[in-house]
Amino acid sequence: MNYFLQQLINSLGWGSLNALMAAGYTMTFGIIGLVNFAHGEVMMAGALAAFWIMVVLELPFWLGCIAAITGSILVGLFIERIAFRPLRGAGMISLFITSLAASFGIRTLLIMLLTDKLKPFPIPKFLKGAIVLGELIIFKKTLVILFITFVVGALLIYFIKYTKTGAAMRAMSYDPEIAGTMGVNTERVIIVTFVIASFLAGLSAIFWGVKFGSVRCSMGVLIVVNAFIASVLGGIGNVFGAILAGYIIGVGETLFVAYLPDQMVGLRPLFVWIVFFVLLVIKPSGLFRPNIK
Amino acid sequence: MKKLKYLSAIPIIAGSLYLLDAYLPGFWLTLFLLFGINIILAVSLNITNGWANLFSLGHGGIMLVGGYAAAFLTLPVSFKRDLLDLALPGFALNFQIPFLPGLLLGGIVGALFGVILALPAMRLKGLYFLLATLGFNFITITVVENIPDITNGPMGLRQFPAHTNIWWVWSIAIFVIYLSFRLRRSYIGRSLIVMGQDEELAEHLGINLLRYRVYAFGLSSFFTAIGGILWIHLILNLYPRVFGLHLVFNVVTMIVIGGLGSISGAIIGAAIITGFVEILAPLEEGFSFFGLFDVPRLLGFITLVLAAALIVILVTRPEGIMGDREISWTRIKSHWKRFRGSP
Amino acid sequence: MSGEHLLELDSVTSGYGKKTVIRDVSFKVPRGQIITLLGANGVGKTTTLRTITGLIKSQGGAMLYRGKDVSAMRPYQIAALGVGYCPEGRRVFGNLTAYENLLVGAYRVKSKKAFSKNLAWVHKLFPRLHERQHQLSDTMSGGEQQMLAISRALISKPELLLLDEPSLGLAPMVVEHIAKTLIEINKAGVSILIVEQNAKMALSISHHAYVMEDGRVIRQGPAKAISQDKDIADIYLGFR
Repeated sequence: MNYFLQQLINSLGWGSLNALMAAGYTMTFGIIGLVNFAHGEVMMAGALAAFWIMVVLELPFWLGCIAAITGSILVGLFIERIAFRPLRGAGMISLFITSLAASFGIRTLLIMLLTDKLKPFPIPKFLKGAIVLGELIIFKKTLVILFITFVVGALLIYFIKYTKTGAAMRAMSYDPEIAGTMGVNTERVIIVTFVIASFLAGLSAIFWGVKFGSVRCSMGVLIVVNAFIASVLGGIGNVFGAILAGYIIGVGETLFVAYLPDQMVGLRPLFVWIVFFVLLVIKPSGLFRPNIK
Repeated sequence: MKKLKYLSAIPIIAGSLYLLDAYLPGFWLTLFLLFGINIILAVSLNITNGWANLFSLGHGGIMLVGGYAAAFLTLPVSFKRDLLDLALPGFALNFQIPFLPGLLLGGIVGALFGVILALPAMRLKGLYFLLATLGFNFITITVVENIPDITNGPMGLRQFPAHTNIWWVWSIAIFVIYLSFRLRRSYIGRSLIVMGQDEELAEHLGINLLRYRVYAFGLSSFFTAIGGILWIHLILNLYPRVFGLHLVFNVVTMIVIGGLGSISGAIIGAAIITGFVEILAPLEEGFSFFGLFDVPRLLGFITLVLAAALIVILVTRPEGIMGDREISWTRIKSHWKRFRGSP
Repeated sequence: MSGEHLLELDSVTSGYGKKTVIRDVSFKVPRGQIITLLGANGVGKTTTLRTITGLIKSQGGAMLYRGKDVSAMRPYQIAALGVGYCPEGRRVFGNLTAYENLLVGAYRVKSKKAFSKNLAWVHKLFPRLHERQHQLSDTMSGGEQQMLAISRALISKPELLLLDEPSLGLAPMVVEHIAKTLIEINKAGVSILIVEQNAKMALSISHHAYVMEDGRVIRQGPAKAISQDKDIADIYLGFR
């Protein structure tokens, strides 16, 4: 039992990361029908920007965090501008292929410049250390990550459900044409969506660095798969669903690996795909109501 | 009369291949072989992703399983049994089987897995099917890497006999091209294309969607697997990682640049990508430019350029170079006439 | 001269890509009136409305709103000018409640007070909607969705209301209710351009009518005259 609880606690940081990535992912998925394979690189850009600020320029942690968020937003907007906006209205498959190309392009560029070696992500003193509860160890950083995710998640859901722009986003996910005729400046809403999604990715980048202590150029490759499967699991375009699904996948994946025999640990990536295929068979629309037609 | 024209082409082609094989320096010969292999991959992928409009990213996984199936048969016994002691059935472990049966069996295994890919196509629409095939790719690589007793895990297999040569590659490539052109005009081919453009219409015309999807994937995967096997016996190693998204992406780029649904487009796309990748390879290593200055190592430069090129094509000319049309003599003649300025 | 008319189309040609659907279409919507565009299925009525709202780019001719050329404007800009749109097939935002649909419809309404006022007005016109305002619009009946679509177009208190086949698929009683409501809306100062296959209903509430065939306007006149025109009646209006 203790083992289970400990693993569960350990998984909460990873779950939070997945939840935020999924939330951002599902927003762009819903609003322009984009399966954005480059979202992992948006996160990676933030992580590397933070690394650059903190390790290369030796500036404090809080500047690193700002760099992460800024880096992610800039890269996210850049990709939107060159890879997605020119293809506005194109089919999902074309959009997916450009996102693949963008993903490869950005990752390759950064590997060329910085190599794919692990880069340290220093964390400040207040995030170090742990609380001991009986036989369970709870890292302080896990609690901080959970808290921030909770606050950000709540704000995001409030925004989506109770503001005019949030309603406009949901309307656009369902019927972008008609939303436009209601006076919604669709292009601007799309940009706002990308900014929010990239912000969430930047935040996830910080979480990643804090939790694992290091970042690398290829960190986006597998998380993006988790993010999109979590989006589908939560109902496309449904932010609350995506957050919950992100936790399910993050926690589930960790527990899956925890209970696998040692030599089968390499099967970790299979977990999400099993979830995906089971989902497609049982309830393809997802756990919660999607925001698309 | 036409048959005679085709038959007389054979000695010409055979002769050319002989000459190329004998006189092309190593680098160019390898380039030519890679071109042929890429033709096989691109033209066969065109059947599912182009004609049948079932966009699949699973071809990496197909090559992987076909490759391993063939490898188990063609690898020398000293390697698979004595060195690694792989958990294979007796007839594979204790014998080294010649190339042709290895190739065919690998192709059949590929085809079988391809059919498995076709089945979810019935229930899943466009995007979900695409993602499912992506999943297939990921899953096969992960599984293969984690059953080291059978596959030797992520370290892959080596010591392949160097079977691949110009005759194998190009006779198969030419055959695949010929088969595709014949298929395009046949009832099966036309049904596939109708199914790809308008499912409802296809059903009205009495086309059994399931059956034709199985045909498309079976045929395409058969040759995709063969392409993979040829490649493995050229580069003489088999690493599971290699069949991931990078390779999948390369072949997709070939048919998108060439034009989805066009055989000639697939060939052109294969030519462009092969040429690009191999001729730009020195850039990735870094080289000395006429002794004047050193170009530094730009690893991944090729991928970056290809990625950018793909985005540019999708934005400016999404139908690719050929669209879904083929090169035809009449069109070339009319272009030539216009070029010469004749009335 | 051009200030008289709220909306004026002058020889507008439009379509999808290479396909031209409407040709040289001209008509005027004077302030305060109800104008109808009639014609059988596929003559280009919907294409005309979609061109006005900016969903389709016109290929020729001029579209003037309050004398200003709007041919190059994006949909949200045209909405901002005071044009409310009720599309063909209702097209409510099924994932939103009725209230949220109206919230989006009032996107360019800045003041909360104005929104509340408009909301009250709309709820008075369609009391059924008021009851169901927190119901998911996906689960509403066809008639309710139509009322919602009209309300959504009205919630911004537009000058010009565009309606595309509001009677489609609705029971006659509901159609009558809608017709009566449209007259009320017009009396409150909203000019209306209605596109309809159901000529009887449309002509009964309109001031002026234009008849389309094959992408062109072939006849126009006061609604009463058109309704009594035997030729039109026989072929297009299904009186027989």
